[in-house]
Amino acid sequence: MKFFFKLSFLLFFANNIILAKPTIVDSSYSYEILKTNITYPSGLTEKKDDLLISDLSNGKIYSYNNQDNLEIYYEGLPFGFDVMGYPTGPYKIKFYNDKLYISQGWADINRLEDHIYDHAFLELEKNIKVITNDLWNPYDFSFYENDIYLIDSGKNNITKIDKNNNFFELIFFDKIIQKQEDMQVLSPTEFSNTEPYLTEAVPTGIAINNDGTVYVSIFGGFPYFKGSGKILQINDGINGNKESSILIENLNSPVDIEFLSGGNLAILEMGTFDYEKEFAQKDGRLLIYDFNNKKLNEILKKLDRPQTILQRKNGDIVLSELSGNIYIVSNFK
Amino acid sequence: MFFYRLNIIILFFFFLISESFAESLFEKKNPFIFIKGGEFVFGNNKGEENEKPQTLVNIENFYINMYEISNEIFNDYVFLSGNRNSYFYEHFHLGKDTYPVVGLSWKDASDFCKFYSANLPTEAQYERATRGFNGNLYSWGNDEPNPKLVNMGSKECCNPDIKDGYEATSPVGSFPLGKNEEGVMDLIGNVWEWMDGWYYSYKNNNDQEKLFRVLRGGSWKNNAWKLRSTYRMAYNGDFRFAANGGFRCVKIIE
Repeated sequence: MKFFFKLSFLLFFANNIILAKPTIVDSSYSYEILKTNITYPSGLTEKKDDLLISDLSNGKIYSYNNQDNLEIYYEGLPFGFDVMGYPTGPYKIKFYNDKLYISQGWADINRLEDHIYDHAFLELEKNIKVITNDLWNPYDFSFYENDIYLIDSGKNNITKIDKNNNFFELIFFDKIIQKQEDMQVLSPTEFSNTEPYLTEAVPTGIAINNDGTVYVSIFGGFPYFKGSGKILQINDGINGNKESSILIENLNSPVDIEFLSGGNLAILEMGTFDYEKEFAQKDGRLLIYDFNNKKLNEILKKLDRPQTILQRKNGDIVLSELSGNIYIVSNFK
Repeated sequence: MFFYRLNIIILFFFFLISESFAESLFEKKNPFIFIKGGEFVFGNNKGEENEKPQTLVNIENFYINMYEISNEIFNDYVFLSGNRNSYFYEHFHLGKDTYPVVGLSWKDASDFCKFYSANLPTEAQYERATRGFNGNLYSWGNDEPNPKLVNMGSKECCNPDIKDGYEATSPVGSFPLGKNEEGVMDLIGNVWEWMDGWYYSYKNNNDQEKLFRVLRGGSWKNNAWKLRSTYRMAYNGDFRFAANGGFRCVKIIE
């Protein structure tokens, strides 16, 4: 009897730990899980009514239709693991003007030489075309009036690519000054309490609103201090240069942003970083920033290392997670 | 007869996987070198505040690994123990077999040593092995570090430097001119090494509320100041993402 009691307790415990699902914070939202068996779903986009999903575990792009059929849309892209042990490959995919655009990561583990599609920005119509592979870590990108705005999370900049394939560096993100008390938690001898310490300002997500204003999520830079993530608004500065101003701060590793149909900004947080266990599992959140009342609303929490947000034409929000789950989030309002 | 032979084979198999066999394999790849104990100069009155005061300390004889623990040896340990591997074990450079294992928490390193019936060096053991009895600054003496003696960083803290032939870590034992009197390699440079115990103040002997561990010896990113044998780097012991932090073990043999 005791054995069965223990067993049921263990099963209950395992169920709560292993099968724990995201928690809805704003009760006007609900979600369902899309069952796809994709190992590392990352990029998301729509092609007509189909949902396209990239998989970092095999370099494939899948098409998921309304009849719940999953088919291979394209295969043969490089994939692997980055220096931090996270999967790389076709990070983001976006369908625009009847072409599929792909940002392709750099798998530097056990790689003897580069693949032509490595650390590249690709265009797929009938055939695949390399727009550029002179990049370090192309990540998110967005479109505005036929121009492409591409984030390089290695060079920490945004490149604007116009319709004539001219490249311009729109803005470079300078290092971030970290709070000394944060650094001293790591080491009291190496990080003094008088000198500032700088970490990389790594851009991740990009979104452009209807009037062409660019917004960028800044991840925070290793060692990813709690609250070092930001959302920046890119403005015109003096002499035609671009400048950034902080829209939102105190975020935990924001990884993607997306404008919703009502004009609000959806933000996906990866979560906090643990020095022992890397990115904490089930610590990610979906947030929505309301520009009218300047309020940040928490929608979902306990996401497991989320990757991408997409709002579908029907208004649903789709989220991909490194756990393998894809969520369809609906709003009742 | 068949069962007799089978028994022999089974016994031999158990011997192969026994701790003593594992230990002898480890020691064959990375021998323990005898370090004579006694009274020696510990601390440095000309160093950082946390290196003061300079005193005389008496320790017993001990043995210390000739080399920093390599990826190859750590991979053997992971196979035998089932414990986790280093953070960079698959890295194209940092994860090479003959290079020092990096990307470990203090506990990862301590567990390794305990598995082989050893310990991480105490700060006193490290200083005695590195600076001898008379308080040398470095394992080779008091000459300024240079790229022939040690895998070190640039003059300005804390960037890598290619002058020593390596942009980052180097295979263990690559700098024989920098060895100590007993022949122990890389006690200075290449990678910082985790020490046993907590970070504490020499002045009041408290343990800083057991918040930090200590690393010694400097690394491929450090200049002469941090390569000094008495420099004490206190760090969060859980941190396992440093590409310049490794370790070696010590043993007391009665």
